[in-house]
Amino acid sequence: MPDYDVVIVGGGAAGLSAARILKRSGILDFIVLEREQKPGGLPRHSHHPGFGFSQFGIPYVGPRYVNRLLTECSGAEIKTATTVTRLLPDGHVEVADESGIYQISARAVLLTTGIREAPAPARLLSGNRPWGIFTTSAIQQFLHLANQSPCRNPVVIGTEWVSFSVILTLNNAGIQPVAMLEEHPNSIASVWAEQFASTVYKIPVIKNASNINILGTETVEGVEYQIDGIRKSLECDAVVLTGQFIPEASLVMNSHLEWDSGTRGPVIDQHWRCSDPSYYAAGNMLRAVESSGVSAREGQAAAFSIVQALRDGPVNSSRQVRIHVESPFEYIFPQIISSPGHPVHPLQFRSRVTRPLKGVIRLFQNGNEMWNKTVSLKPFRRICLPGKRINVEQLQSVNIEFAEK
Amino acid sequence: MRDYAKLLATNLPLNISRRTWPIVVIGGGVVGCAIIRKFAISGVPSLLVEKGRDILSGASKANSAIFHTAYDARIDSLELQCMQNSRQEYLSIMDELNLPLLRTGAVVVINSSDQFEQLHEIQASAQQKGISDVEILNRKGMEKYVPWVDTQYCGGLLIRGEDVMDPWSAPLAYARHAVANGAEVLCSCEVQGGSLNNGVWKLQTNQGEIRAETVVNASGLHGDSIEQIRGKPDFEIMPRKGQFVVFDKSAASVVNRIILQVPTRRTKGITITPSIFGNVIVGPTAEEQKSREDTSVRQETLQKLIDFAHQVVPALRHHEITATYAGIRPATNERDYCIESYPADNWISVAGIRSSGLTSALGIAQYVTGLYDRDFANLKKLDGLKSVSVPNLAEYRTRPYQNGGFGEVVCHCERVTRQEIENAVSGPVPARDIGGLKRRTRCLMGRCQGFYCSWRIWQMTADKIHWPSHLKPRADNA
Repeated sequence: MPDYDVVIVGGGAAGLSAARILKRSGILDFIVLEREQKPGGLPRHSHHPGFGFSQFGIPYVGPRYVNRLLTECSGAEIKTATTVTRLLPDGHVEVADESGIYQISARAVLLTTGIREAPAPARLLSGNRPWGIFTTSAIQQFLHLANQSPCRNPVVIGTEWVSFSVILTLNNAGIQPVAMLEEHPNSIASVWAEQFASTVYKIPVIKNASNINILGTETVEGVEYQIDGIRKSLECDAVVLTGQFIPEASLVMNSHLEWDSGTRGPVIDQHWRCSDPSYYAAGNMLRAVESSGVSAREGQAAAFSIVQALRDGPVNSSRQVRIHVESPFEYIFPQIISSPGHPVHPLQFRSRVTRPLKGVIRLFQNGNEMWNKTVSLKPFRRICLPGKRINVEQLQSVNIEFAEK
Repeated sequence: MRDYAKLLATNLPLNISRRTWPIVVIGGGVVGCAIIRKFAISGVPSLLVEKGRDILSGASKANSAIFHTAYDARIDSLELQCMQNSRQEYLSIMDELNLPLLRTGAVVVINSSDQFEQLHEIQASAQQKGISDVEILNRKGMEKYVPWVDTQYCGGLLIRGEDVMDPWSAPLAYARHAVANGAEVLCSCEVQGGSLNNGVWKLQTNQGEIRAETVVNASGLHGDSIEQIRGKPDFEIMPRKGQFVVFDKSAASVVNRIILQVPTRRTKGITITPSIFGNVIVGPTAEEQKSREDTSVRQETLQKLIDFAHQVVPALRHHEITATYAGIRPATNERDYCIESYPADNWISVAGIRSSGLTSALGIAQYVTGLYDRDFANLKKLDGLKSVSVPNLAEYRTRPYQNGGFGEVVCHCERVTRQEIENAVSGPVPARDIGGLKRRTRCLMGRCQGFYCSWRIWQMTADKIHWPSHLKPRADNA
């Protein structure tokens, strides 16, 4: 007998949203394992509004969204300060807490371990390694959890949505960024966000800034960058590295579960099931990065799938169709369509490109075109490909093509 | 009157300033730590002064952590002698000090069959030095020992004794062993000058005057400037920078042996090394430079290291880079270590300890104490020594989070527990800055580099170690 019906690994937006669905569906024998001292994940220290609108119709500030989720999950077993250290076959996970390591088993394990941002080494930044190089999350935690102001005049690197949310966070704390640096010719998030930063907050957004070099020995003293072949420099006391999220999927990489080098997350099928059918995955660990709203919806969808499997018995999918994509697509998921399977509504594929493109996307089922759309694609944005007309039982192949115009 | 002023100016603890130390070792790198230990366990408890906030703040903080066999050291060199003696001593004390040794072995790889001749030469030279456990591998042998190396590498030389150390716990253990047996370690103490009068050195430091009967100069990158205090240095430090990239722990499943290149006169070349912490380290480069402080990295160079790693081990392509760093080796104009005793000057200089210093430190300490015994005063073998042990950080052995009783995991990437962090900032030779804390526990050194835990580490250690001063309570009313 497994210890639980369900173990949820990670108590962030996706994990707690899944817990809420399990509870509502009458599945009460589950546990959420959270390695931090308190559950909530990244929203816990994201003090800006916009969380939970799709779930609750209210645009909560991060910590309040977490409170709402926890209220919804009240009564559920949430075990904090507990780290899952290994994923083992057939729903066994190894966990570590104050008492050491031990195993927990479940009929289904849902992985919702989220994301992190690429730190300076992963970005191969040139220069020194002084104190004062932060990721967004680190600086938010200093400000909101430690109540400490780690800098006065930082340079923000990146122009993703999170980069502009950092501007708000810093502004609230009385910190004035010196500039935002972006290596691409355009802001990744949007033109209006950039306008907002430069006019309302008077922060220059410098694009095409390459070869960033960090100066300072003990603490950050400045950054150098190159623009149109000319070296320039800015004085600052910190560098905030924003975006370039990576799924926190090391547990998967070091396990028996199949891992996708495109998404850098686990391979899943249309039921959010991993290559070991006792494992499910949802939220940003599947790919980086979507809003917490998307992650929450995925957590809920995976929870529904788990509920169905627990009630009706597991689907023994005898056939699997693997979906591959080529350039310009960076990845696609679900990577696998299993059949037979439970009906899934809506079946949807998600993909992404890394540079701006205009053209036509075509989706083929068994060699026949079933959908096309003329699109203008932006880099690092999700592309949704509707799979509702896919006949899972008859499926032989799925192909996606792109013709640039 | 002047002496009185000097006395007032001192910040030194009384137990350090009021006595004349038999020996003051300048430089708290791996070599200094090994020397102070050897003196302490030979009945001469002495003082180690380090200008950084913590020991291992200079050249010793960055290396590739290989426990070398000395297969490529020059025969009859002092380097070879020190390395071989050091290996023996390390193997005999590692259990007592709770130090790890990851038995990996190394393969010198070649990608052209013309190079087999060179491998035979290396093999013969290794055997001449008594390193007999070496074996030439053809392609089939490569498949057996390093199947993950790209097939373009047609052969190699397997050297079984090349293993992997913990580059920071070992010197820390030496320093703690010394302190347990009466030695003192004083950090943030920069020696700025000194004079020898009536057989006593008066060393001027930023903290005040320290008196010593004999000075051991083990100041690494600053060896020649410290040597000026004695007189004209017999060597010149020529700093050589090495950049490294560290692949994530996930890569440990791919690389389980050290990959070496055919060494040249100047450098061993870039190595691919499993680390004791479960990462894979690629480097170092060998870049001559003037600066002894500039440990900056360059994106192009790091990318070249990564490309090289991918080329040798294609499976590394999927693994992330966790860290990048650079270290500076204190090479000299000489091809061997420069260890000299100057009995008339009450001075022993230990210089030019290049990349092999981590392996050879215990042997260097034996040699230095030998010089002292010969030229200065007789040493004795002590009974009733106090033993110490350091916490285990090696991934292949049981870590505290697995045993339990150490509190929750605080640093998730490296799985460092609350108790380990608390222990590292207290007790003998505690961490005094973030670098020291990282080296003692691995916290903040994982793939997220503090994304998740930096604030908690700060909270736990803010009043114990130096954190940069511009961390201030929030000014607003949030």
